[in-house]
Amino acid sequence: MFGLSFLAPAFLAGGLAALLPLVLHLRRREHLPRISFSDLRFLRGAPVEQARRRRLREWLLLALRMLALFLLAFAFARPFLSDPVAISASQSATVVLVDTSLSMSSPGQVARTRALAREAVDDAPEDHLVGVMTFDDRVQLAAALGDRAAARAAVERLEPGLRGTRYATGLAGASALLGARSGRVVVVTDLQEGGWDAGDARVSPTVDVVVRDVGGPSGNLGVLSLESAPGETVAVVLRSGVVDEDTTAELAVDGEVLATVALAPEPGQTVVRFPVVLPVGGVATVSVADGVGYEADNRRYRLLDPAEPVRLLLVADDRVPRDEDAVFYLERAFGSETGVVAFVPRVVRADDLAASADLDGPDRVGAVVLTGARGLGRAGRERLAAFVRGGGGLLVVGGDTLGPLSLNALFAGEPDLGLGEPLTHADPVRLVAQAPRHPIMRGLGSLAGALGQTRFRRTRPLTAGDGQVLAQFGDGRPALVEHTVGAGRMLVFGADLGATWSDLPRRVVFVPLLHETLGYLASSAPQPREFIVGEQPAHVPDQPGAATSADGARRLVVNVAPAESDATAISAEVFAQSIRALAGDGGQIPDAAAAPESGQRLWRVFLLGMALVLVAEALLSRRMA
Amino acid sequence: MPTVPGREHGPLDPAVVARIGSLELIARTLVEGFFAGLHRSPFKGFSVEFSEYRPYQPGDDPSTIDWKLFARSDRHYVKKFEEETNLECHILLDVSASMGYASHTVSKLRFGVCLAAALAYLMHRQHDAVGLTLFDDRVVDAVPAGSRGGQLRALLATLGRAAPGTRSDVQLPLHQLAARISRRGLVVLISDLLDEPSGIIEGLKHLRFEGSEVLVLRTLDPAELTFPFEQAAWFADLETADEVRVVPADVRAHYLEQMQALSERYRRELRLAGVDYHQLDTAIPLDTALMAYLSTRGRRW
Repeated sequence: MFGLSFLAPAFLAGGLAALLPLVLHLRRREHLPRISFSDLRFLRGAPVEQARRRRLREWLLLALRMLALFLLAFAFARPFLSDPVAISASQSATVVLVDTSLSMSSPGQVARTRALAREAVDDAPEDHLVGVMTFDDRVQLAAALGDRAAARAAVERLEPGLRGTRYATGLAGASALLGARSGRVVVVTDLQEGGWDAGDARVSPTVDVVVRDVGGPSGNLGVLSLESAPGETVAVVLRSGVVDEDTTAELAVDGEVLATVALAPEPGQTVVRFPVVLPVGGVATVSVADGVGYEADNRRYRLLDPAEPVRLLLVADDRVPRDEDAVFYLERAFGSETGVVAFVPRVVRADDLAASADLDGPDRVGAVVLTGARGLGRAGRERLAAFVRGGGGLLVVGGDTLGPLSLNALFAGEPDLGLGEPLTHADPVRLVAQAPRHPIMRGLGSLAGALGQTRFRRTRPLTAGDGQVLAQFGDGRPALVEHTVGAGRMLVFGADLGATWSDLPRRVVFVPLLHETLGYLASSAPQPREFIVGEQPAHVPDQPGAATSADGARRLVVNVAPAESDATAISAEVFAQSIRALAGDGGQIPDAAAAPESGQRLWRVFLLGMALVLVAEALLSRRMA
Repeated sequence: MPTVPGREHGPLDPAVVARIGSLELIARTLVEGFFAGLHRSPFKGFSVEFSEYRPYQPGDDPSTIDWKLFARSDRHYVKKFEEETNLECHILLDVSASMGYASHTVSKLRFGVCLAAALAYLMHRQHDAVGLTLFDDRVVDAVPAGSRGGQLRALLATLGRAAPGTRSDVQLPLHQLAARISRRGLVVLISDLLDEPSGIIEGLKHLRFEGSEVLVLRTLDPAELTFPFEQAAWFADLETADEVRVVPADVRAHYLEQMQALSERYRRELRLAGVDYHQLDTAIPLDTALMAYLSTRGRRW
């Protein structure tokens, strides 16, 4: 039979706050005058409430408010269902917590792991329930608390995985399994030092932690990285412990070996240089021969497929750009190959946006350049606004063809784009970079200074509002302003990008500026292509190597965690001291009840109940108002 | 029925009348005051139909001139009441709890008692046989119709005992009276008629069917007619003790609309039934009621 217990029962005193509405109700109850009247029939027929029903609703309202506060107090008290039988000493338990991370996969380790785990099961006190859990960077139940036969069977099925080590995760899981029981956790592990990086281990003071050291390999070689460098390819190899002094490293692309170099790894990291330039496209692999360490980290993968071109939508008044106008130069700027990001621009009219398939779905473009808003109706504005809020990028070019009214309606005035009517300057104004640390300006590097060579004969007044001014005109007015809209970004340029307003399109900085700007706008929702085992998309198995995205459109690569290659271990004493040190920090270590409470999370139920009660209270209040 | 102008604060003002202790004095004050004021009334033409007093005309017996009235009014009126004493009048006064309502100094019941006393006094002076019935949801007290010497005192004594009772059921005494009346006469019902209108109308029709003339004097408090309340309050029903929480601004329009509809229904259906219906405000002079009585009586007899 389960009973309700509380992790922080002191908060139950907060339940007294539930009396507050009652006191307020009694003190501040309406003292309406009482008027004797000859006949109430026409008052009853009017939209008023009868006293009895009103009073009933008032009390119901009061009860709901009190209940909401009670539920809040209960939630703060961290309730959990405790098994009173299990709390008794006779129900103590032993959890055999087995490390199955990559660092447990060297030759011979599996057999030793099973043997030690089996021994831990057999050595558990007779009156203990026994369970088996495995952990790497997550924790899994192999055998629930119960008889030893199931535990032994689970031990025989143990296999190492390819993920990293997180002791904190394993110990938290074991604590949760023990719940309020006293007992012990037997950790069967290689004591890899890197496993402590992931966070604090938490165990109850009533639980003993015993370490069974499986031991690591005598040494290990692991490939940590693979990079392309000018004229060569560079890999970094990590050596820990004792390995063969003479080995080889091999570079291959899509299975074809491009280079093999002799390797005499030093302790620690060794840079391996391949005199080969990596091709564009394919999956490069660097592998080392390692006969003693972990096999899975002997190979590292690198995706050579070029970054997917950024698709751009150029919204213009005309699909066929005229000479000298913004779209003419934009098309040519994005068609050049000088930038590091390839762009694929497409020109559409504003009135085509409402039905365009480019703003959502799988064919969603990376960014939109709005140079003409004529014909941008309500549906088009809503789609464009949704595109930006959903993470898309928008560059608004304040040329002649942009109507300020339609533009301000784009986001219903928030943010206020504040584009005024064009101004003509007798003395042309120049462009000055204002945010040198901004990714766009940083990407321009020394070219940012070249912005000052531009001359603008016409500009538009631009209100910065809450946006960030990235560049301004020589007369001090904002020229390029960034606004954050939902998950997306919007840049507003206070001039045209054609040649009739300025000489910017003919300046050397024009193309890099556009590439950096649009590359920045399109990078709001980058799609990663390289993953660590355990962090890859769900459809990709825990296996290093090449894979494809869920839609099959692009390739991915998965590698093991580099930290697992370091076989350096700590001693069992240090491990135990770490646990004790953590356990000694009373402010951080919850008692044994924390585990079941953490598992059950009943406080969420109480909070949900409170929310429902408040909704009911609001509805009733509204009806009574 | 229009009121007589300039009487709001005269001797027929209900607030003034209510302060007079003796019902007989009240009745006399009302009746005499009423007739004293008739010469100033634009409705004095009604008195031509009055069988008891009318202006002297050449050919009338000078001995019938009321000299006391002449002394007060400087007009000659002849008295003819000695010749007309064959009318049987019944006054039905509602003494239910709702009649006890008063938003100012005079309750509807007090107004009704004064009115009944004045009518009884007037009828008695005309030597009409006068009866009285006090009722709420039953007949509380009754004086059979008569015209003997002590009749007026008996009537006034009964009216003096009138006190707010319980719920009203106007229908019941109407049917009882209709069954009891031996000869055709005049029935005057003084009530707020805050009851089920269908039953009341049926009862009045019953009386009309039996041949009686019926005059309904519906007495309502000004607060019932205008609902002047401003602040939210618990409104307690005088008859049922039920309570309703009311925000007057929210219900005023609905209330007034319903009250108007009820009055219109009484007016329309009672006119079709041949019943004289007059709605009285307890804040305005009683002569409206007396004028209504005289109008009804004069038209029939």
